[in-house]
This record gives sequence, C-alpha cells and structure tokens, in this order.
Amino acid sequence: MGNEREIENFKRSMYPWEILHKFGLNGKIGGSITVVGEMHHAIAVIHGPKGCCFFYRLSAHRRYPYYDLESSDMEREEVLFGGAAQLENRIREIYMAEKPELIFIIHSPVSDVLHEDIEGVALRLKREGIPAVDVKSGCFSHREKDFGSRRMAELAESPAEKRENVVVDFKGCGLTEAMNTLVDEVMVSCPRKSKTFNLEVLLMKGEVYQALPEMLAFLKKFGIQLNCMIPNDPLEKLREAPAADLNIVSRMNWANHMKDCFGTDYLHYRSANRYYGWKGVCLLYRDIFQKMHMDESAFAKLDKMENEYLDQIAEERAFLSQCRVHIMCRDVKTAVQAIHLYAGDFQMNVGRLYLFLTEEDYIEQEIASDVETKIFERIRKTAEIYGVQMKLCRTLDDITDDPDFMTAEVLVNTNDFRFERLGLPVIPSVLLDVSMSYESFLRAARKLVDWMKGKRLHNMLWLNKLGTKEFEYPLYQDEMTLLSRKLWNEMWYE
Amino acid sequence: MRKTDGCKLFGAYQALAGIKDCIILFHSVVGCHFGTLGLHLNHCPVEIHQASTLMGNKEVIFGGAEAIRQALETVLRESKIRTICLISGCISELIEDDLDAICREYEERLRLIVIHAPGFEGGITEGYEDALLSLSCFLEPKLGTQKWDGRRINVFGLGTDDYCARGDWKQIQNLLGEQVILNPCPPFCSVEDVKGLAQADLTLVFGRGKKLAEYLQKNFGILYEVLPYPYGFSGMKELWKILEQYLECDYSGARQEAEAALKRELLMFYPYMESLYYSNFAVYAEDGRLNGLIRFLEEELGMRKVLAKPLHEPLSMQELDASKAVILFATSYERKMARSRDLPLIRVGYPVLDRVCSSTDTMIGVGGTVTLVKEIINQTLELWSGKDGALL
Repeated sequence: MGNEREIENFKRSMYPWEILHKFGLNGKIGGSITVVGEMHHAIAVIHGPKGCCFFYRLSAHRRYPYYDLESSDMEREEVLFGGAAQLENRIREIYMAEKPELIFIIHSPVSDVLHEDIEGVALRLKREGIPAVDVKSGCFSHREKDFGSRRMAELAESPAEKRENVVVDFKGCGLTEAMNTLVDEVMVSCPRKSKTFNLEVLLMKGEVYQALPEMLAFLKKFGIQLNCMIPNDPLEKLREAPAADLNIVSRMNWANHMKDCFGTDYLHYRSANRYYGWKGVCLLYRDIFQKMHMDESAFAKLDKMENEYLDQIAEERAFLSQCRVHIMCRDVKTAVQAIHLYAGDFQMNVGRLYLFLTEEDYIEQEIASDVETKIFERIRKTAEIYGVQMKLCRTLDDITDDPDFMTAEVLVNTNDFRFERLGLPVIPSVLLDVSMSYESFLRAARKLVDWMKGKRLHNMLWLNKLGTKEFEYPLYQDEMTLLSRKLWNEMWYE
Repeated sequence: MRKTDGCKLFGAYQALAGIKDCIILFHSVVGCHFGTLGLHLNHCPVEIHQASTLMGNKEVIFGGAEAIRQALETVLRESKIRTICLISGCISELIEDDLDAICREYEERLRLIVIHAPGFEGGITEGYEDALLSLSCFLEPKLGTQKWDGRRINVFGLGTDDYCARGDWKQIQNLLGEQVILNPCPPFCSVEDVKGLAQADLTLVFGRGKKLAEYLQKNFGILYEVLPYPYGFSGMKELWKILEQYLECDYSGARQEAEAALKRELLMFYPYMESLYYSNFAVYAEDGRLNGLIRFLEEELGMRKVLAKPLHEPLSMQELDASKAVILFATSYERKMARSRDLPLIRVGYPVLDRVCSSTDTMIGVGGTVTLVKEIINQTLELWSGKDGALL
C-alpha cells in the first residue's frame, strides 16, 4: 500500500468541520443520508419541502455531496391537503427512471408535524413491487439535547483505573433510524457462519483508511472473517448480515436493535473510554476473541504478535522516552486517554498535563458543577500513575506562570497552532491515529518521532497573524460572530 | 431528474446574511441553521452572523415564543446589536407562532424584521425578493427629498454566498469608476446603509431584487432596470450603456481601455479559445445569471448554447446527453453529472461548495472575464484523459 490513505486523510481534513460545530448541529436527516450515501443502488427521498433536499445533499461530513438525494417537494397544497400522493408519484417516477434496489423515505420536520402516513406510502409502493422503506422517525428534528451532559455524567462515574465502556442511549440519531430500517426491512434470519463478523464503518475519521484493511487482514490470520460491511456492501450481502457471530459497530443503538431481532451480539468499538492507545488496540482484539469464543492458543498467539509489533518500534520508543514534553489538553473527555498514550504507550517523559478550559469550554463540554470534581479527580488520578502533574488552567498565564513550563521541549496533543505563542513548539495530536490496528500504533510512533526530530517554532505562521480570538476556539474577532456563538451556546446547552 | 433550487428560507438568508450589525435569527429547526451555515463557510468563515431558536418537540407542542424570547434576551444581554432579522421557517409557519406579537413586545428595545420564509412557499428567488423587500421598513419618505452627492446607484441581485460575490461587488464598483457611486446595498452593507438606498438615481437589478426596486420607484421615484448578470465585455458594455442613458455618464474611455485590456490578456489563450468556437455548452443556473452567461459564451466566445435551464427546473442526465453539450456551467451539485460524462464543469452561482474564493476573486469585469475564460480552458485541460484508441 502506498501513500493513498495519507493523501485521502489530507484531502478529508480540508473542510471547516470544527468551526461548523461551534455554531450548530445537523438535523437528524443528515445521519440518515450518511447511511444511504454509502449504499449501493439505494436512493433517499426526503418527504418535505425542497429546501431540506437542497441542503442535505451537501452531506458535509462525507466530504462528498450525496448527489442522488431526492425530494417530494412539498408545497402549500401538500401542507394543506396532505403530501402522500405526491410522495408516491415521485417515488414511482424515481423507480421508473433509476430502478434502485432500495428507496429510503426520510421524514422531514414538516412531514412529522403533519403526521404524514409515510408507512402507508411505503406499504402501497411495496405492493406494486417498488422497494420503498419508511425510515421511522424516533424523535423530532434532532438528537436529544441532554446527550452530552448524560455522557459526561457517565464518564465522571467511570473509575480512573478501568477502561469501562461508557454507555449512553439517546434518541434522534438519523443514522440509527436508517440502520434500524436496514435491520427491519432488509435483513433476514439465516444460519450462523462461525467466526464471522459484520463491520459498521460509518463516520470514522482518519484511521479507517489505514487501519481498517489492516484489521481485516489481522483477524483473518486467526480465521476470523468479515461477513459484510454495513451498510456499504450490496443488498444481497446485507440481507445475510444476521449470519455473522458478531457486529463490530460505531453506534450501538442500532446494534442493540439487531441483537433484539436476530440475536447478533455486538462490540461497540468507538467507546471512547476503552479502545484508545496501544492498550486499547490490544483490548479490542481480546474483546473480539472473547466474543468469538477463541481458544487459549489464539490469545497466546496474540500476545506473541503484540510483542513482535512492539519490537519493531523499540528504537522509536527509546527515542521518545528521552523526550520531555507537556501534554496540552482542552477536552476533558480525552485527557485520560492522552495521558495513557503519551506517558504510558509512548513512554515519553511527561512533565505536566495542562488542562486548559475556558468558560466556553465548560459550557460546550457540559462540565456541570455536579460532575466537575469527579471528572478532574479522575484525570488527576490517571496522571499520578505516571508521575505527571495535572494543572487546571483557566488562562494562558496559568500555563506560562508555571516555573516548569519551559523545562519541556514541546507541547504535545494539540493541533492548536496558537500555543506556539507561549514559546514551545507544538506537536499535533496522534490520539485518533491509534485505533483498530497494531500498525496504526507503529505509524503514530514513527510520526511522533519524525515530528519531534523536526520540532520548531514558526515565526511567520500566517495562521497566527489572522486575528482569531485569543484561545477560545479560533474564531475571527467579529462582534457578530462572537454573538452568534453565544446564541448557539445559550440555545443548545441552555 | 433533480432540481438544485433551495427554498424560500435559503433565499432570505442569501439576501440578508452579509448585512453588518444585523443578526439573522432563524425561528426554525436546527437543520435550517446548520444548512445555511454549511453553505456559507466556504465563502466567508469569518462572518457568522446567524443563530437559531432550535425549535424542537417543546416548541411544536407549546409554541415557540419562549425560545424566541430566550434568544432575544441573550442578544440584549450579550451585545450591542439591536437589529435582528427573524426568519421564520416551515415549522413556525405551520404552528403559526405569533411573531408580530413578539415584535411588539420588543419594539422598544430591538428592531425586529420578520421574514416569513417557509420552504413550502417558494424557492430561493422568492425568498430573496421578500427578504430584500422587508428592508424597506428602514426607508423613510423624507430621505427621498434630501440631496446627495454625485450620481448614485443601487445594485440588487447578489447573494451573500454566491461564488465570487464579494469580488464581483468590488468589480461593479470598479466598473462604475469615479462617475457613479455605488451605494452599499444588501447583502454587503450595514443596517444604516440600507437607509441610503433611497438616495439613488437608479437601481440595477441583476435578476432578483425587483420587488424592492419597484418599491423604491413607487415611493422614491427611483427608476430601475433589470439586467442579466454582467458577464464578459457585453455585460460591461450593457452596464455602461444603461448608466450613460440614465445618468449622462461617459464610459467611452473605459470601454476602450477594457477592450484593449481584454485583447491583451485573452491573446495569451487564443490557441485554446479557438477550440471553443462552435462548441456546445449547457448552462444550469439562476435566472439572473443564465442570460448573462449565455450572451457572453455565444457572442464573445462563439460557443453554441444547446441547453439552458434555470435552477428551479429539474435537469436530467438524459437531457444533458441529448443536448450533446461538451461543457457544463452549473453549481457544485452537478459535479456528479459532469464527472459521469467527463464534462468540464465551470462552477457558477450558488451553491458552490467545493471551491473557496477570496474577496477579490471575480467573474466579471476585465479580470473576471479573463478568469472565466481561463477556468473554461483549465477545467478542460484537467480532464485530458489519454484514452486514445481505448475509446474505440
């Protein structure tokens, strides 16, 4: 494999995704589009006015518009008298023109308020031989607002010394709704194929392009085979998804539903609290082996292979252990992971963990007063394991006033170029680079070594001269932009 | 067969989002806010002047007034901004939230302009027209009697997030030169500037904005002309001709200079321009841009129009194939169509979401014309495939 995946990662990074989410959140239709957009010969039709289709076609997180999105184009007449007939006719036209294998009918807020009988439409069309399915709407418009605060509360209760899955259920995920539709309308009961798994690969970031094929190849060595990729594989393969022993999923809600329907167990690999860093990868494969009831020899072989992988980067790890760094962290959810990764897995000489949280960070990360102490205690305990001192900082002075600040060579774990102004070079985070495959860890280690060897301050960096807001998220210091941000925080996080 | 037309809400946003010291508050669901923002960030990530009441279950059942109040109180508390464009989307219109009552509640403290823009009531052009007209509340009859310096014009029709809109606006100012002053106009103006629209000698409407232009004519006697978007030298000439006709200007010098400059610059491309002669093009764009582009491509480049459709009509692959077009002028949403046939795609209008542009990038005037020709050539060269005999 050449450099294709790094190139793909780079191309995908060129999108103002972060700034978008500082001001808003997508409606759940976006999640449903994500699913349909990955499928072969499937089309999505939004039952609503044309504006929804106009926007959701953008499908921003895919970096590639979902061009085939259709709309029933509800206008005044449909709002007054019902739009079912127009929807049916539109779907008939689409089917005649394109003969898709599946047509997902997605609810819009308008069709939900009007309580349009989309299920009835789908049933009637099916009788005509048109494969239309109703993506049942579990919640109006968007995901439940308190999901973030509930997740933070669960994380606060999770013991620092354990890597427990943090499980939070919520409604209003369009992705789940579309996946549930696949479970209900496409999948069928079939005989189990031993030692097989399905993989749900939606909304993965950088690691999917590199780590995923490595993971598949690795599991094959133990006789564990991929049954199908959900929802990317052709429909005939998706139909037989229940043949697999296990679902490996990024979203557990639909996997729960599939377990209820077909008894297929699942492993939620995106649990932020378990599968991170080197140990996270090791745990991932052990958990998969356990779910697959692999015997002792498989585990022994796994141990041996892991040591062989680590031997490949012995030199790199020796180099990194000599590097004195401070960890910069602006997200309480990832602080524990960062400590384990840099101090534990890479064995770097970590002096400080600077947990830099402004007032806005408290709002955005939903650090409520009742969980604050527990969250910070959890981080502090983890830092103590490696002799790292945690420093909670509210201002930049809290960082630079630390007499030990300049004893490190670099700040790690942050992609925020503005920290160069404090006087230390910055090394971008590799936290998300380590996932799903042992090779991803090796690559991250080598990348880190490369960056450490080339560390520098950039005196003419344009990014640092553009007048963005001082250490809040880089926003341009325009009164209106800042007000828009405040309004978003006020209305969403209330 | 798909349309690329947005809804009324998007049109309202396009008319208003660039206005300084005025925040847009969507009284709608989260997707409307995110959608407009997502399409805005490509072109101007530094000016984010919008928010939403984020209507959810509670608002649908109990009404959205409380959510609006919460947002307005935040504005009052957190900033000095006092002008808010409250754009009402599908859901608030369905449940008939009484926005006028809210306005009355806050009229002492805020200037609230309500624009009813449900998506089921029209497309982008309708939204743009209504939103622009809503700004007429700033215009006072006495302003029309006041004297102003020089010859002044208004220009309507540009959208906040049209591709190269900011650069085009600057180009229009350049084209006017020192003889005519371009009033700051929506979307690139301030709230205060909107008052100044009544102090103009003429309004030019590039496809949309006709309602406000008619209002200005009726209430202030300001004549208006509807023009195609001023692509190419023909667009420049038409603009100058109108100004000469209405305002007794003289652009003969500018005309000569522009022609000389274009001759000089386009000479660099002439062997490539030869291949454009009699080649078939298809254009799928907003009404205002459609005719301007067609005129430029036909008259100035000698190309042949084989398909022209406005965005509010659907465009199918079959139509495109049947047209035998070899190049397509359209939005980014037509990229898949273009790629499936290896057609060069020249992006125009809105939305263009796979290109960024600076505040000086333009598609009109001398520089813009050169850019447009260059873009046609470069996009075509990019697609050289080397298939040769494999095509057989």
